[in-house]
Order: sequence, then structure tokens, then C-alpha cells
Amino acid sequence: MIKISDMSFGYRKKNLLFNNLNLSLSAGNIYGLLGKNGAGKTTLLKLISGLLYPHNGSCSLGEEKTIARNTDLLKEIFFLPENSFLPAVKTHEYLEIYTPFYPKFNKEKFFQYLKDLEIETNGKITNLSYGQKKKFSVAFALAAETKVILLDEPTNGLDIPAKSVFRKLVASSINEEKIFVISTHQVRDMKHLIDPIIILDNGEVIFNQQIAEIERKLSLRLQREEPEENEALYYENTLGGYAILSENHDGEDNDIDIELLFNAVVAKNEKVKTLFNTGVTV
Amino acid sequence: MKRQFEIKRFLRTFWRELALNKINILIMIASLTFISLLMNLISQRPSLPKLGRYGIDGFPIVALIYCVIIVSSSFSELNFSDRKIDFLMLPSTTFEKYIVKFIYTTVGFILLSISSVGLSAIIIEIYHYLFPSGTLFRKLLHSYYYYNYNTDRIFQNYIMFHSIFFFGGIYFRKLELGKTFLAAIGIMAALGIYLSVLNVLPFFENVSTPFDMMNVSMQINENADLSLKSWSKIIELNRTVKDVVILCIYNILPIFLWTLGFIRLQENEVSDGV
Repeated sequence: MIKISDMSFGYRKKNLLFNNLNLSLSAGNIYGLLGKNGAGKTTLLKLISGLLYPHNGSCSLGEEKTIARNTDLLKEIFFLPENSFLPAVKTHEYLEIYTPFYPKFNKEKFFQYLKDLEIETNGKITNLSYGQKKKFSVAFALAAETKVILLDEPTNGLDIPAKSVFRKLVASSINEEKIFVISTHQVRDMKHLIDPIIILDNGEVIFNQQIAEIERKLSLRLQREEPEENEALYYENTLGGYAILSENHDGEDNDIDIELLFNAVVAKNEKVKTLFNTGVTV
Repeated sequence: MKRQFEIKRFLRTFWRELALNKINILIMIASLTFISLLMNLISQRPSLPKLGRYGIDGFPIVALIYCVIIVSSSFSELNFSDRKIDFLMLPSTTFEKYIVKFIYTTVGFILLSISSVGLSAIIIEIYHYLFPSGTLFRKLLHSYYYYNYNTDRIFQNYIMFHSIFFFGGIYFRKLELGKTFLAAIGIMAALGIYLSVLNVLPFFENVSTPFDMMNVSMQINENADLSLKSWSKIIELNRTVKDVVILCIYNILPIFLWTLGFIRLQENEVSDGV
């Protein structure tokens, strides 16, 4: 379990990005970390991985603070940045260099992932295209079998079939011991994968809910006419009508659009908070 | 201690460094060998007798220039966001990462220089074997006599330059070579000015050991005239100061800068802007 307690951090001490942030991330989940540009998603991933030192508070993995950055911790945290470094070596050399550092690394799985993502393993890694490098890094991150896998914009640069394969691979990798945190703007790529959803805005966690709870509380419908103000929690003009997010009164199952949810949470934060905290009609 | 240093982990980190830099190492050996051969060639030109002397003696200077460039860029991965994350997230301690870089730039570089010299000597010997006499190149190419070098002095200089540029490589972000060079010049200039000021103060009496320097203010003789005796004292003092400065520069400074570099690297691990 990752526990962030009263954590404050800012790149400038006078201008804090996070102020007394509290967040708990439990094993067995694939957290989707959403937020606008500059909301602090990547910074939060770096704080979790111990790459940044908080001014106050702490972030712990189990009993250990991640900032300790001891090797036992580093073996259990894999942070894949948006642009990851790959050296000018061949695949087997890369494995020879890096796999000894990750004792649970599974080579069979790695090559299976590469096969699933349609990556050739003959030449130098640096000869691969941007998207192929991304696939390679994702395959390595998943095969490292670390307890914590932090992925920053993992689907950027992936082609359409690869995005689907990525979802399958991540879904098949998760187990009761692992925590995935995926920071992304590509929410449609993450549909049916991320759960719970965490939304950051101005350095605050403004939303942190499981999909089941979201679907229990909210419903999505499409209609031609513009809804009344009190009829919808949030709505957007779409092709041929309006996409409306409103309270789920009848408890029916429905498929929530994460993009619409994100916009609703950011635009009508207080209303959403009230609904989820108290369950009362807004 | 085991948490800070473990031999298996250290060897993995060592292997990673070697595997990632093997092309650079080969390029360095090739270019140093080439320069070594070139200097040999130039040094043997009869029309350039002075250059000849410098040609042979100059190889350590070339190696030193190489050292400065390599050492100052030994932590260059900290300047690039992606490489920095790869370096910092590697499951190995800061101490192990530091020691690996240290060994590569000290023992590794010395071995690399010896390899280059050895390789150039072998090439020359092969050439002589293939073209025993009478050719133009036979006159131009001669084996080096490296054993004539003052290796202690070379080693001392190497260690001093290594410590300065190794620290600069960790401390400065981007243009670390230039910044370290400027900082070193600045410090040397300040030291030079300080020593020059000492030179023109002919008021010292009974100052003969470095420890007496601490009591200079107590021993100023306001009525002293510039005499032969006082000049000899000044010369003696200058020698003492020079000895102290050399002692500091060659022995204390490297240890100080290496330690400071390690502390700085630890700070760097958790600095902002990763």
C-alpha cells in the first residue's frame, strides 16, 4: 500500500503545488491519475517514486518511506516516464544490463509482450520508432514484476491496435500485490482499465472514486434537447444533441464516459463532491 | 554498510556502465592511439626540433585534456531528464553509482591511456618489422620512451585535475566543463592575488613555519625596515607557503572535492526538476 500523508511540495517553496496532500493507494488496483496540464500528475508520480523530496509529510510504500530510495524499495518501484531512456544496445544486451537489478523479472513474459505488441527484437533498440520504443519500455516495465508500476502517459505514441493490446497486458498483469498508477490525458484509451479514478486539479485530489461507485451515483444519457439547469449535473454539446451527466436515481447500470466525468468534476466540483460525500441530490 | 555497498550489486552497476559506454571507450582508445601516433610522427620531423621534444613529452598533456573532458562529463546523464530518471531509479545505491564512475575515470582512464600508448607502440613496431630500413616513415616513426616520464608527477596532476572536474561534473548542470574551468581559474586567480599580496608585505619577522602564518597579525613589526635579512625571511616564507599550497592542492583538495562530490550527488538524487 502507498500512503501519502500531509505531503507538501512545490518547485518553489513560496508556490506550493501540493499542500498537505493525503492519499492512499491500495494493492490490486490500477489507478487512473487524471488532470489538466500542470495539475501535478507527473510530479506526484515522481514524489511517489522518491525522485522528489517533499517539503513536509511523507510517502511510504509499506513501512518504508520512498524518499529513502534504498535498493529494496527501488527494486519494487518501476517508474516509466513519458519519454524513457533506451540505450543504443540490442534487446538481449539490454536484458543483460537491466534484468539483474529486478529479481522478479520474467523474460518469457517480456518476449510474449513484445510479440503481442509486434516488436522485432533483432536490431538496436534505438533504431525503433518512438511508438515502438514506447512499446518496448512498457513490455519491460510490465515484465519487471515490481510491486509498484508508475506509468506516465503510456499510450502516447502507441498505434490504435497497440492501445488495445496495452489494456489487455496491463489487465492481465495486475494481481493482489501490485499497484498500477497510470497518469494520462488519453482517457478513452484507458476505458475499462483504470479503476479507481483520481482527478488532480491545482495540486489537490478533487476526486477519488471507484468506477462502480461512479456508475452507482451518476448516469449518462444522450438527448436532442438542451437540458434544464437543474436537470443535469453537467452536459456537453455533442454531435446530434447533448451528452448529459446526472444523478443516477434509479440505480441502473450505465457506462460512464470518463472524459465527460473529468469535465464535470473540474467544472462542477462542489456539486460532485456533495453527491459523492453525502449521496444527497444536487 | 551492506545496505550502502554490496559487491553483487556493485558489479551489476559496473557492468551496466561498461555496457552502455563500450562504444565511447573504443572511440577514446582509437582517438588517443591516433593522437599518440600523430605526435610521434610530428616529434620526429627534423625541421621541428623543439616540437620534437614537446611531441614526446606532450602525450600526458593530451591524456590530461582527455581526462578533463571525460571526467567532467561522467555524470552528464544528470543533465537529461530521461537519462536522469534511468540513473536515479536504478536499484543501486548512490555510493555504488559514485564508486563505479570514480573507478572508471581513475583506474579505467589510466588503463585506457596505457592501452592507447601500448597500441601505438605495437603499430610502430609492426611498421618497423614490415619496413625494416630506408623508408621515409622509418625515419619518422620511432617508439616512445614513456618510461622516462616522471610518473609520480603525472599521477599527482591527474588526481588533482580529476577531483576538480569530477566535482564540477556533479555540481554543475550543463556546460559543466566550461563552468568548472572558469570556476577553477577564478579560484586560482584569487589564490594568486592572495599570495601576491603576501609577497609585498615585508613586515614579517620570525615567520618560518606554516603554523606561524596563523599568528601573522600578532607578529607584525611596524618599525621593521626592508633589509637583506627580511628579504631572506620573505623568500623563506614564500617557500613555506608554496609547500603548504602544493600539499593542499595535491593531497587535501582531491579528497575534499571527492567527498563533496558524493554529498552533492546524494542531494542531486532528490533535487527538484528531475
